[in-house]
Amino acid sequence: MHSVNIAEWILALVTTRDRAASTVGDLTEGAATRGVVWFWSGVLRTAASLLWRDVAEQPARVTGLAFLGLAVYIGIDLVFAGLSGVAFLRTAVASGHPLHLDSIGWKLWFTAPVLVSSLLIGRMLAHCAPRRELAACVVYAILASVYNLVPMLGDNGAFSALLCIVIVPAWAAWGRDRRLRAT
Amino acid sequence: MHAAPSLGEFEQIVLLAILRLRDNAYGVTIGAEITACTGREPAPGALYTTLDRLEDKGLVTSRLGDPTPQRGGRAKRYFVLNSKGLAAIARAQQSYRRLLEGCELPGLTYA
Repeated sequence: MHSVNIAEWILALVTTRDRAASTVGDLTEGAATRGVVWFWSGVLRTAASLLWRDVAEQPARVTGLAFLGLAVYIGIDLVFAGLSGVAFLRTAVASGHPLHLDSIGWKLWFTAPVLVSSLLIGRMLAHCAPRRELAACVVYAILASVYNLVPMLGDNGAFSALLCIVIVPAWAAWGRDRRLRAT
Repeated sequence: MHAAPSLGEFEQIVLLAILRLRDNAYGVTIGAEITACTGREPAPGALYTTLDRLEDKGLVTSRLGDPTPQRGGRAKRYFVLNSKGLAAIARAQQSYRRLLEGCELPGLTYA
C-alpha cells in the first residue's frame, strides 16, 4: 500500500530504517481492527515523540546548531540588504526616477537570500547533526520564523518564514535519506 | 565504573511486559500486555520511544522476525531483556518493595 510506504518514510526521518519498518508493521497489524485514523494518528504521534526525544536528549547541541543556523541566515540577510542598497542607488541614479519595489524582479531579488540561506543551512545542519538532522532543522525553522515574523527583527514576512519552514527540513530530510542509502 | 541506569515508571512497565511475554514480545503484544495488566492503553509514540531508549541504554536487545503479509511484508521486532536489563528492573523493584515495607495500602499487605 502506497500510504504505508509514506508512513515508513516519515518514521525513517526520525529513527533507523529497520525500526521504522517494524513500527509501521506493528501499526498496520493494529489498524486491521482499529482503522486508518488510528494508524495515521499512531504514525504522527510516534514521529513527534521520536523527534522530541532527539531534542530532549541533547538540548544544548540541537539548540546551539539552530542558533548557528540563524546566525548564518542573518549574516546572508545583511549581505543581501547591503547589496540591495547599492543596487537601489545605482539603478535610481541611472534611471533618474523612483524604483517600483513591488515589481516581480525585485520580489525575486528579496526572496533570494531566504532560498540561498535555507539550502545552505539545511545542508549544514544535516552535516553537523547526523541522526538528529530533523530535530535541529525544526528548532531552526521555529527560530527563523520568529526572526522573519516579528517586527523590529528580520521582519521579512510570512512568505519568508514559510520558505524556511518548508525548505530547511525538506533539505535535511533529503540529506538524511541520501546518507542512509549510502550506508 | 558506570552508574546503574535509573528507570522511569513507564520504562519499568515496559520491561516487565517484555519479561512476561518471554519470546513473543514485540510492539503489538507489549502494548496489549500493558493494557491487560494496568488497564491503561499506552500511546504508540510513548511505547516505541521507550523501546528505542531501553535498547539504546543497553537494557534490552532486539531481533527481527520473518516478514508477514498481514503486516504489509514488514518484520516483527522482538525484544528480550538482557542481564543488564534484568538487574536494572530487579533493583528498581527492590526499591519499591523497601518503600512499601510497613505501609498499609488497600488490597496490599507487606510485612
